[in-house]
Parts: sequence; structure tokens; C-alpha cells
Amino acid sequence: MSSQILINGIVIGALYVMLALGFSMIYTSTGFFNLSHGAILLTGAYVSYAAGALWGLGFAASVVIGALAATAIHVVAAAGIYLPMRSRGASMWIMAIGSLGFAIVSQAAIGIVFGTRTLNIREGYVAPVLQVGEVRVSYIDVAIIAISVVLVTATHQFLQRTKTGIGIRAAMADRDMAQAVGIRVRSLELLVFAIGAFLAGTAGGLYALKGAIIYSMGGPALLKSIVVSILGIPFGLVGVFGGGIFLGVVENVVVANWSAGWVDGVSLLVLIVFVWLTAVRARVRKYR
Amino acid sequence: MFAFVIHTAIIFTIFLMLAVGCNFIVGYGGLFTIGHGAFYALGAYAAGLLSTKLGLGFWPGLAAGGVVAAAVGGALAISLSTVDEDYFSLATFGFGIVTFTVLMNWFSVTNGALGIAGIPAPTLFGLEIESGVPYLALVVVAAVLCYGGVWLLIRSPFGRVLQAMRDEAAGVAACGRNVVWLKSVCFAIGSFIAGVAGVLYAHYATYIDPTSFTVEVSILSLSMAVVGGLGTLAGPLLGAVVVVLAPELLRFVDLPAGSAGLIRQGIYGGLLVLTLAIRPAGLLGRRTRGG
Repeated sequence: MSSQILINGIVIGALYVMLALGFSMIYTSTGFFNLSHGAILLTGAYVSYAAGALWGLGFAASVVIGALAATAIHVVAAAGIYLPMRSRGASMWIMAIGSLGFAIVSQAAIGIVFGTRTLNIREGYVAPVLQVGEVRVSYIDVAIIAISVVLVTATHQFLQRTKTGIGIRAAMADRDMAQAVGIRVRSLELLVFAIGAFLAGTAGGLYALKGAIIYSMGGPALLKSIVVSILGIPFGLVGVFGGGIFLGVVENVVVANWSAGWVDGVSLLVLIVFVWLTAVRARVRKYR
Repeated sequence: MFAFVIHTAIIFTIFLMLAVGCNFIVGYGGLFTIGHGAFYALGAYAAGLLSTKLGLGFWPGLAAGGVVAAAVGGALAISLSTVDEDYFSLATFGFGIVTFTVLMNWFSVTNGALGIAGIPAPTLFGLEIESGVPYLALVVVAAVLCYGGVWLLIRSPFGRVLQAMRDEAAGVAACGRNVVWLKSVCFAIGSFIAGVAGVLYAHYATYIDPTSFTVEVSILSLSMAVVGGLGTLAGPLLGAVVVVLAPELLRFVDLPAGSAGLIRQGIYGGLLVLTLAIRPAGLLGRRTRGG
């Protein structure tokens, strides 16, 4: 494996980590698979595109605007649709399908507004490149890795150190008990949703900077969030980091050695084997 | 116009069969599958390959498609029997995507993205069942048989044990029933119906390629069952009307040509959100089931 493939995998993996951390936080705190997670990335990417390409804002400003817009839309969706569904007795997967419906609407809306062709935030723009020996890394790639590390670490510190973060973790561990001791679980859930959406929206903006975007990119992004979260959840933050980088590198190796068509199949196969092994391990422990 | 109505009716009936099979697995068996489209694909490809490569007729192909889907479905359910509920759903979801990837890339067998062309129209007593009204009749008969089969099954002792397992698996196991076997048979029956639907689709379209069997088909099957009301008999029918037929009606409204498909998609998503936000148990469901 050449080091170029490795570094490309790490850059993509850094985006996956941001997606997956948000996804798994929302999953552990509200207890449902937010299938509109890919749509958050999509919204972030397209609003960033609009800000950068149509309104002529700088790279940093467009990413921030994209992330904030995506966060706002999806927090409203959570407060207005998903959480009320749960109080009406919807099960986890019913909520998931509801969020999927929202994702479908988002995708259709973006397709109608921006068209279904691939778009580039700066047509023909080539980012300056850092050359280290054989390996070439663009400055945007470096920025992606840096932003991912900073945001993910900040989220982790927030959860570990602050009072609000501890409240969120208490609500994740036992919702009813947290409510009983006076923690405002519902507003914390919305906060978690906002953090997760912000991470995914930022990933979307960075994705728009990195390359072409298309209205159907939400589905694949959702897939990555799910795979990395499931790989990572049992091992905490290190697991999410490891899972994201692992998936990014595996995908790049698959693309380099076989063909791009096998990528999703291979990553989902990794997921199935992992889920199955976890279950087998649990079974073995139970009988020992 | 008339041809278009018949075409829509045929596709609607095939999707209805997917919804019926999915409702059987999710609504009555409590196994939340998100990979139903994979078995639809297996049926279609089994029929396509058998008829074009081996020259087998429609009827043996119909049986083979159903049996292949049922066997793979049963095996999948057994191999995932140790996996918890949420992860079971995820694994079926993964199975759907892996199936699609294999269809797309295993060029020597499935012909990849080029698909399989020239699947012959079915014959009955030497007469060809033409596409159009005769084919619609065939599909409707198949759908009615599947619906009737499910109706009989859920009223049978097997069906009652199945629903008991959905509500309280540990209790059923404690009564001496083999829960793994029950789950597997339930999954196999639902997959069989999907496989048959796939065979009917393959012989109707005469050409199949992987794009007809994406994850969206799995999700569509599930949405129909969920919107109608899981674990109700009329649920899949109502769900299919809302999810498949309602967006189709828009064809009769003048829409800008470029975005008509997207607007239909948006309405499908909107209906999904709305129904579930207002009635989480589905239109006909009394209480939330599954998941």
C-alpha cells in the first residue's frame, strides 16, 4: 500500500469521523437512527456551495454558514417531527423511517433548487499542494484533518468536562433516572442534535471545498455514518476515530486495487461481519 | 393512456406483493428487515438467468425464484439469530447493499450494470401471456394468492405462535418453541413472496439491471408496510396506495419536465413524514409494533 493511498484514506476518514460522531451521539442520546444524517451533510454542502460560488464568500465563511444552516434546519426537524413522534409512542425504527422521509424531502428540494448535475464550488480551482517526498496533500486536505481533530476533541472535552456534557452523558446512560433527578432531558437531546448536525454540516461544507458535490450524496454519507458508528460505538471516541480512518483507508485500497463499484459492498460486509462477531462474542461470554 | 394505466397497475401490484411480504416479516414476525429488496432482486435474477442461460420456462423459473429467495432469507435469518434487534435490522440493510454491489460487479454471472436482456414473456398452455391486460391478470392472481396465503397463515396455529413470538420471544421460547426456527421460517416466507414478485417483474420488464434493485426498493417495501400499519391485513394495500399510487397521480398534473421526478420524490417523502408524525402506528395500526 503506497503512502499516497494511506493519506487519501485518512482525509476521507477524517470527514467520516465527524459524520459518525454526530450520528452515534444522536443515537445514544435520543435512541433512534437518524436516517436524515446524510441529508445534514447534503444541506451543509449545498449551502456552502451557494455561499462560496453564488454569493462569493470566502472558504471559511461558506463552510461556517453551511454548517449553521444545516444545524438550524435539522434541529427544527428534531423538535417538530422526531421527538413528538416518540411521545406519541413511535418505536425507534418508526422514527428512523420518519427521518428518512425528511431526508428524501431534503434531497428532492435540493435537486429542484440546484439541479441534479455535479457542482464545483470554484470551477477549475486547484488548491495549493504540499509535497512531502512522494506524497502530495492539498492544503484543503490538511485543513480537513485539522478541523476534524479540533471539532471532535472539543466535542469530547465538552461531554467529559462541562456540567452540561455530564448531564448529556447521564441522560444517555439512563433517561428516566436523569429526568427524575431534574435534568432537562428534552432540551439536552435537542442540544445533542444540534452538535451532531453541526459536525455533519461542517463535514458537508468541507466536502464541498474538497471536490464536486451532487444532490444524491446524502445516501452514501448516511451509509458511512452508520458503518463507522457501529464499528466505533463499543470503543468510545478512539473507536470512532479508528473506525473512520479504517473505513477511509479500506475504501481507498479497494478503489486502488479493484474498482470503485465494490466500495459500498466491502464496507457493509465489514459491518455485517463486525455485528455478527460482536453478537457471537456476547453469546460466548454469556455461556462461559 | 390506457397502456400507461395498465403498466402502473402491474407495477403497483408487484410492489404490493413486496409490501405484503415485508409486512409478514416485520408486522407479524417482529423482524425489522431493511433488506427486503435483496430478495426481490434474487427472484428476478434467478428467473432472468434461468430463462436466458438455461432456457427454462416461466413456471419453473417462478418456483425457482421464490425458492432461492426463501432459502437465502431463511439462511440469513438463522445466521443472524444471535444478533440483537437493532443490529439485526442493520445487518439486513447491509445485506441489501452487498447484494446490489454483487449484482453490479460480478460481471461474469450478472452481466453487471448492463443487466440481463431478452427474458421471454411467460406462456400458459402454449399461449403467450402478453404484456398488458393478460399480464395484469397474472400479477393480480399472484398477489391475491400471496395475500390469501398470508391471511391463512396468520390465522393458523403457526401464525399465532409467530405473533406471540413478536410480542414476547422469551415467553414463546419458554413454552418450548424453537424461536430461531420460527424466525427463519417467517423470514423465508416473506422472502419467498418477494422472490415471486421479482420473477414477475423480470418477465414483465424482459430486461433487468441492478438499478431496479437498489436500497430504495427495500425502503419502499418497508414504508408501504409501516405507513399502512404493521401487523394489519389491509395495511400493505393502503400503504401501497398512499406511497406508490399517490405520487403517480401527479403525472396527470402539468409539472416542469426537468424536476417532475424530484417533485414526486419529495411528495413521497413528505407523505411518509406526515403519516408517521400524525399516526406513528400507521394509518390502520392501533398500536406501535416492530422495531
